[in-house]
Amino acid sequence: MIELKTKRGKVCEPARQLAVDGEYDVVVVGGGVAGSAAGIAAARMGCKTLILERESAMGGLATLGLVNIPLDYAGGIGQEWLTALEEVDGHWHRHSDPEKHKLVLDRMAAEAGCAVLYHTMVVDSIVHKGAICGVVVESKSGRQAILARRVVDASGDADAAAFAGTEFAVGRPGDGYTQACSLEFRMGGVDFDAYKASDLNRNDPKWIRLIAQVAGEEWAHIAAIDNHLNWMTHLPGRPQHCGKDEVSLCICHSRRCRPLDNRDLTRMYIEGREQADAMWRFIKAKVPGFENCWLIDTGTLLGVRDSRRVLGEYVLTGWDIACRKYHDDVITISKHGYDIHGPDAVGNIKWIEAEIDGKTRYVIGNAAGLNSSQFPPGGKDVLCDYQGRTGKEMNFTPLPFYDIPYRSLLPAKVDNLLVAGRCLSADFPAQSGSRLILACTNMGQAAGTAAALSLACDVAPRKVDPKQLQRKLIAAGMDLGQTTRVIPGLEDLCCGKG
Amino acid sequence: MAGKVYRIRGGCVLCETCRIVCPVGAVSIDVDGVHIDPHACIRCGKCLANCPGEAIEAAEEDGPAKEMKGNEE
Ligand SMILES: Cc1cc2nc3c(=O)[nH]c(=O)nc-3n(C[C@H](O)[C@H](O)[C@H](O)COP(=O)(O)OP(=O)(O)OC[C@H]3O[C@@H](n4cnc5c(N)ncnc54)[C@H](O)[C@@H]3O)c2cc1C
Ligand code: SF4
Ligand code: SF4
Repeated sequence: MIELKTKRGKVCEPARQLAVDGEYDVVVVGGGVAGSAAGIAAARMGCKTLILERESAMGGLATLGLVNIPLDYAGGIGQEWLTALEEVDGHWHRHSDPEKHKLVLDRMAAEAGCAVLYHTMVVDSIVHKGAICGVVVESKSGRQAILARRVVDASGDADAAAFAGTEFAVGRPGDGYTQACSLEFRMGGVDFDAYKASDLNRNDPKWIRLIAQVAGEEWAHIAAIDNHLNWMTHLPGRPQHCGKDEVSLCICHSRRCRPLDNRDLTRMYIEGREQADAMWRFIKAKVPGFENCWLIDTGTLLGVRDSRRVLGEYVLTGWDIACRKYHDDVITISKHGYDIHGPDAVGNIKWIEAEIDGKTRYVIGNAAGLNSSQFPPGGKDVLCDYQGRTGKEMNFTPLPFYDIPYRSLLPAKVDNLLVAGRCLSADFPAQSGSRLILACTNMGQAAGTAAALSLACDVAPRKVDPKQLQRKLIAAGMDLGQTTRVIPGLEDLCCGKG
Repeated sequence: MAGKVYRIRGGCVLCETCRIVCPVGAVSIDVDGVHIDPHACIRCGKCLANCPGEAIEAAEEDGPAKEMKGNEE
C-alpha cells in the first residue's frame, strides 16, 4: 500500500528496500527459444543460472504464440529439442507441437540444472558503474531484487537492456511502425488429405486468388486483412488420415503496430481474436477439407515479430545478408533473407533499396525474395542480387548462408549484459531475416555460453575471445558454417575451402 | 544408386531447409527453384522429413520437377 501523494500530476512512490531473492552467476530474462537455450547452455557450463519468464511456460512465440515452424540451422540445443520432440511424436516436416515443446524445454532446463521462475516479470535493471548486476522482478511474491554476475536479455523486447540504459531502435526508420503483428490460431476437425488433394491446394496454395475473388462479397473484410495465407502447419502427433486433423494458421494481422505500448497490444489481441473468428468461418465456408472444422484457440502470446533492436557493438544490416558478409566472430549462421511483413499494408517486402554502381537497386537476400508480395517501383523484374544481376542471372552463392556476429549480441554501452534472439543488434531489414526460431535458439546458446565463458575467464563479455567461444559452440554441436568454409583461427575444425 | 528418387512435387516455398539439412550437398536452389542432384543424393530422406511445405516426394523414378508455392515464414 502506498499513501496517495501527487506531484505535477504524477503519483509519488516512496523509496523502499527490496528483498534479494537470490544471487546467480547468470540470470536470463525471458524463457523463449533464445532464453531457454541461453539458460541451458550457461547451466551446463557449471553456472548457477536462473531463467525469469513472465508467462507460464518456456518457448515464447514458438509455444505460447503457436508459431510452430522451427526453421533455420539446427545444431546444439536446437537440434536436441528437435530430436526430443521427434521422440514424443511432437515434430514432423518442421511442424512442431507447441504443448510438447513446452514440456521438452522444462525437462531440458531441469536436466541442465537451470532454475526457472514462471509468472515473474522483469520490471527494472540494477546497474553499478556501467555494468548490470541484477534485475528487479514482480510476481505474486511481490517486488524483489535478483542479483547476477551476468545477464542475458532474451525478452524479445530487450526490456532489461532498455531498463539498463542501452540504446535501441524500434520499427522501421521514420514512423517506427514494426512489422505486422499476427495472432496465430488453431483449428481442429480438418480433413487434411482432402485439402491436400483439392484444386485449391494444387492451383492456389497461398489462397491469393481465393481471397481476391471474395473481396467484393460478404467476406470483403477478409481481403482487407491480407492478400494471402502466410502459412499453415499440420500438427504432428494427431491421428493422421482420419479427417480430424489439427492445423495452425498465420493469416490474422494487425498493422501500424506499437508492440511496446500496452494499449496497442490490447488493441491487437482484440483485433486478432475478431479476425480469427471471421477467418475460421470463412475457411469453413470456402476451403475444401475444412467443412467440419472448428476453432480451437488463438495464441496466448501475440506474434510480435520485432520491437526493440538493441544498439550493439555491431549492427547487422540487410546489406550484410544480401552479400553474405563474413564475420570473424560468427556465432551462428542463417539462411533466411529479409522478410518484412507489411507494417502498414498487406503483403511482404523481401527486398532492400541499395546503391549499386551509383544506381538505386532493389536487392533480394535469397531466392525466396522472389516471393515478395509488395514489389518495388518497376515490379518483380527489377529485383536483383547484391551484384545487380537480375532474372535468371541472379546468384546467391558463394556462401549459401550469412553470419551473425558475436558483437551483435553485445550492447554497445552496458557491461556484463548480452542480448539474444529477436532483439539482437540489427537494422530493420536484417532483423526480419535473422529472427527465425532456430537462429534465435542459436543466438541464445551462444549468449549463454559466452556469459559462462566470461565468468570462467574473469573478463567482461565483450572481452571474451571469439575463437574460444566458437570452439565451445562447435564442440556443443553448433553449425558455424565450418564444414563449408574456413574460419580463420579455427582451421583445424574446418573442412571447407574458404 | 538404387532406391527411390527424391524430387520436388509442389508446395515449395523456397525456405531452403532441404538444402541445409542435406548431409551431402545434393540440394541447390536458384531462381528456378530447388534442384536435387540424383547422382549426389544418398537417399537419406532428411530433406523430405524436414520440408515444411511437404513439397518433396520419394518417387520410384525421376520425372520433371513442378513448381508451386505454399508456406512462408
Ligand atoms: C507471426 C510470426 C510468424 C513467424 N513465423 C516463423 C516461422 O515460420 N519459422 C520460424 O522459424 N520463425 C518464425 N517466426 C519468428 C520466431 O517465431 C521468433 O522470432 C522467435 O520465436 C523469437 O524467439 P525469442 O526467444 O527471441 O523471443 P520470444 O519468443 O518473444 O520470447 C521472449 C520471452 O520473454 C518473455 N518476456 C518478455 N518480456 C519479459 C519480461 N519483462 N520479464 C520476463 N519475461 C519476459 C516472454 O514472455 C517470452 O516468453 C515468426 C514470428 C511471428 C511473430
Ligand atoms: S519448401 Fe521444401 S522443397 Fe522447398 S525449399 Fe523448403 S524444404 Fe526445400
Ligand atoms: S534424400 Fe538425403 S541426400 Fe538426398 S537430397 Fe535429400 S537430404 Fe540430400
